[in-house]
Amino acid sequence: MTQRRPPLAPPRVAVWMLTGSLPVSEREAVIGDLTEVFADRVDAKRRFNRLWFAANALAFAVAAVGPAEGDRSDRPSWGQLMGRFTSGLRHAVRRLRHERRYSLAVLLILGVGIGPAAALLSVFERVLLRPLDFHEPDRLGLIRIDVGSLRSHPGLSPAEGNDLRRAGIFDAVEAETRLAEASLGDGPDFTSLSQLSFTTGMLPMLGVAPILGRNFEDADMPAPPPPRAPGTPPPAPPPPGTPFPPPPPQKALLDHGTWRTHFSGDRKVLGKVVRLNGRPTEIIGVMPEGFRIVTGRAVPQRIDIYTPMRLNETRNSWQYPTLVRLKRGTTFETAQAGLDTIATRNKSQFPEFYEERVRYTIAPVLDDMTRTTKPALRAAIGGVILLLVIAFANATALVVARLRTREQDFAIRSAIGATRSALVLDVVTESLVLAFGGALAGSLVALAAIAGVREVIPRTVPRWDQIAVGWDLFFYCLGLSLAGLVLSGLIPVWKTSRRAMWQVLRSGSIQGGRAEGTVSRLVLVGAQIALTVVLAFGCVQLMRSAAHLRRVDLGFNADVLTFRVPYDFRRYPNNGARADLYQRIRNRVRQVPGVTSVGVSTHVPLSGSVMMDGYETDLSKEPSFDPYANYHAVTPGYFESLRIPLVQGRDFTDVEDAQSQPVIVVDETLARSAFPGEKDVIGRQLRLGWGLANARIVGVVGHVRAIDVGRVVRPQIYAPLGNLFLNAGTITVRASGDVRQLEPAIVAAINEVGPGRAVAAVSMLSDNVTAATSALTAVTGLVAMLAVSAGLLSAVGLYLVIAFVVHERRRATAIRTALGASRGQVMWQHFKTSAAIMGGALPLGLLIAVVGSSLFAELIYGVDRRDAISLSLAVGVAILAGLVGTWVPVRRAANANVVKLLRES
Amino acid sequence: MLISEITMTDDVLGELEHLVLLSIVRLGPDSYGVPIVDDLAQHTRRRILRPSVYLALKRLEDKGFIRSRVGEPEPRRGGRARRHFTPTAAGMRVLSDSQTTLIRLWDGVSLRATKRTQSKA
Repeated sequence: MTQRRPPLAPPRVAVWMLTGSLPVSEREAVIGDLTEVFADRVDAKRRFNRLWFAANALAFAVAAVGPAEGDRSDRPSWGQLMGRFTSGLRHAVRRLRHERRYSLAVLLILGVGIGPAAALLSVFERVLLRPLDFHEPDRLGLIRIDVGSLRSHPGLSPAEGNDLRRAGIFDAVEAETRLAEASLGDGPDFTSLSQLSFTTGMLPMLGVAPILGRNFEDADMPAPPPPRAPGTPPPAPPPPGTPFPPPPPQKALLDHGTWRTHFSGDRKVLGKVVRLNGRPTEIIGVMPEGFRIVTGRAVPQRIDIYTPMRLNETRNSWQYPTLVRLKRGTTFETAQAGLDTIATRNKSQFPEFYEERVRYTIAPVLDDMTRTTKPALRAAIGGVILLLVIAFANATALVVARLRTREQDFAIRSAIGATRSALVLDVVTESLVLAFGGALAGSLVALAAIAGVREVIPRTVPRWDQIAVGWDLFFYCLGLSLAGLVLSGLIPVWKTSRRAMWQVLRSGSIQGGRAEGTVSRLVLVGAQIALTVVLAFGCVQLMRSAAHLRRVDLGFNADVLTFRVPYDFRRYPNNGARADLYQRIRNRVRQVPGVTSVGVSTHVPLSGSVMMDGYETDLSKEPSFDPYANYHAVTPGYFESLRIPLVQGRDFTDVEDAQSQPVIVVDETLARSAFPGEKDVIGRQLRLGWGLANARIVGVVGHVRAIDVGRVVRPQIYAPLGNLFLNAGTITVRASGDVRQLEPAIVAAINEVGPGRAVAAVSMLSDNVTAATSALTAVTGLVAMLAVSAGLLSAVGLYLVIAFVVHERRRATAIRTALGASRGQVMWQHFKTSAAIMGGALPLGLLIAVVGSSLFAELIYGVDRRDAISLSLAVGVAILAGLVGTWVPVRRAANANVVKLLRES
Repeated sequence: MLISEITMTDDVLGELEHLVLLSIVRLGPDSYGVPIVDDLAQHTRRRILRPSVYLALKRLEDKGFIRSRVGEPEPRRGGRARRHFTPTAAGMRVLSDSQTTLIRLWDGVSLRATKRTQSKA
């Protein structure tokens, strides 16, 4: 079976350029033809296809804005135009080399402004906009469910998956299990792998096929048991201690990387039988390189090994992320209406499962995947736009100033016969040289910015692996550079070329100490200062939020090393045996020198996995999903190892753990909400979910921020380990020194007890905390980068304007100095100009910052949206930028040679 | 006589327009941009700028020498349709006139095959 991958797409920026520059009547045909040739080149495995497309798009754009269709007799040929253009380029380069300060200033402004902007646009496009690498990704959706108190939960029950199939509203409905750990091999040298199961239609739905072997088929799984006739009781469970029957063989698909590392890339791997979790497993195929399946939470992940699964009729186990493909011509809104019908039917047919409400929602997979990163990236793009405005304003000021100096040159050339188009071409070629240089400078800055972004944005952000340096970065820089220079260069020159010659030749005079255009320059730099205030405010708010988040009391101490330890279910077939295993592991690890406390839990805080169910204070009622809590099963020592404070009562004892007595420990949040007004809840009873018996509260501990660092989410219930079904336990270890140094000894101790499977994962709990605050850290870093660039550009802009004003006033300054004015008086005279600009710009910036604070309100934590301290700091940053920009030209003016100035003027 | 034959039609084809119209005739009715550009690149053996071909197509259509129709959207083209071109009777006529003119002008002229041949008009 050959691999079907969607073809590489032409660069979007180039398509946008064509859409913007071509007439409507020609757009579709031209873009379609280029797309067709692009597809042919990709199929022919030619290189630089995106570059080819972009170059042709640029050629079409230039042709579209080229000389108008007019008198055929005087229209130059393309050859003549190209010749003139090349000659113009040479002259432009020569002129710009001669005026180095101007050229370098423009390149610096463009580089500092465009570089971060291009880097963020690249990140935005790759993370949010780039289609998923599946067949027709726009038709793929992820289903979420609201049921009971679960909101927007990314997992359906298998029966609900069958409901969607039977309803016939989708082309395909496929589901997968949650990620699990698996051990490959027998004996002491296990290899830990990540494993996922999915239904047989998943790969065809995604448009992916194995590069070796075949996909799963229904025959690869044991036939489902026949449905019980209504009224037939379920079969009796086997007597306790009855050994499990040997598991039937299963089939598996290998990830490409797993095939290379564990099977040496051997093509004879097909048909090989290995032991996976002790189960004979035949390898039937190898997945393509780079294949990532979209798991629940819509994050593409690399999984080591895949096994097949079938949807059964279990209805109250919402653990199966379900992907669907829309029928052709169906919209997501139409599909949503179909889901609403299914929800209504399920609620009436199965009231025992859907007591209060049930709702299914569908969203495009890409949208679902990026829902957490979108607010952060949108805020960053807002900052990018501000930065670009500042950069282009600076560039405009420089280009306009330069054009003024060349007006007389244009007038003279016009007098001796140069056409308007020749003058325009002159400016265009100079702008293009600067744009290209600015794009190169911006690309260098963007390269550093991308490297910084990859460091700042943690790997847990969806599609983090897509953030990379590519040709699109250079084209973003070139596009932005051209746009800026077109805005700042061509519009003024067009106006200039229409002025009468005599007006231009006369316009060199200075009127009243202020040359033409000074006011517009002052306004432009004032706008830059105002925007710097806005960016600095955003940056300060985010930095303070990040600092607040770091100081939040998580309810536990994260300086703990965790070991996820799965067990062989055949050797430990029931909860009692498993609890005994983990007790022995705990006791053995406690003996490792340096270890001070050890515990075991089903889930550690901020691990991303959680067990939820309802609870009831009325013991006569069955718990529903409202209220509901997070359930943990723990051993004695867990609270101590994480330093979770015991507020009332006591921890579990080994006796309770071993005999599975129905006792629980709850957290303060549950104690307050379940028993309002009661100071002492020890001895109170709760009716529990997860099949647990009514249990008595023996202890109350502090609330742990287990899901979200920034807020209290759900109450927590802790049961002794033996009471609750265990997938795999996590050992939590605290030591007197650096616990990481003890990792090898602890792993050896665990293997000594012999759980039957490899230790699956070792990590510091503090890494979970870092990952949980990653989004805020990421956007803080991005906005800080923009704010620094904005401050720098504003300083440059103010420097240019003040330098210009100082230059224009040089005669007046020389006269004042000759008449006895001191250095300080001269400097104050020029500082007043800067102060006037700041006086106008700062209030404007504050107003925009206050009004625009809602843009990133979702990201702020622990700080008022319009915090006065943050506003003051932002103003301080802008003032600093202004002072830096003013100091140099003003100091130079104060130190200038008076005699020389008087002679020159 | 030669002058009156030259002025059989009032419209003059530029060089590229001539080549593009000839290519459409060679490729047959309903040809479109992509094969036209490829055909010109192959036979002229010089660099043909793609935009200039499309500009020439537009000029030919404006002059009434070709007509176009929009085809069906195709997935390979990102769901975009092709614009197919067919020569009109006027276009065939002007091409025929051009052929006649060139044949008469070339009559009696023979050139030695050299790397570069320059004609002196």
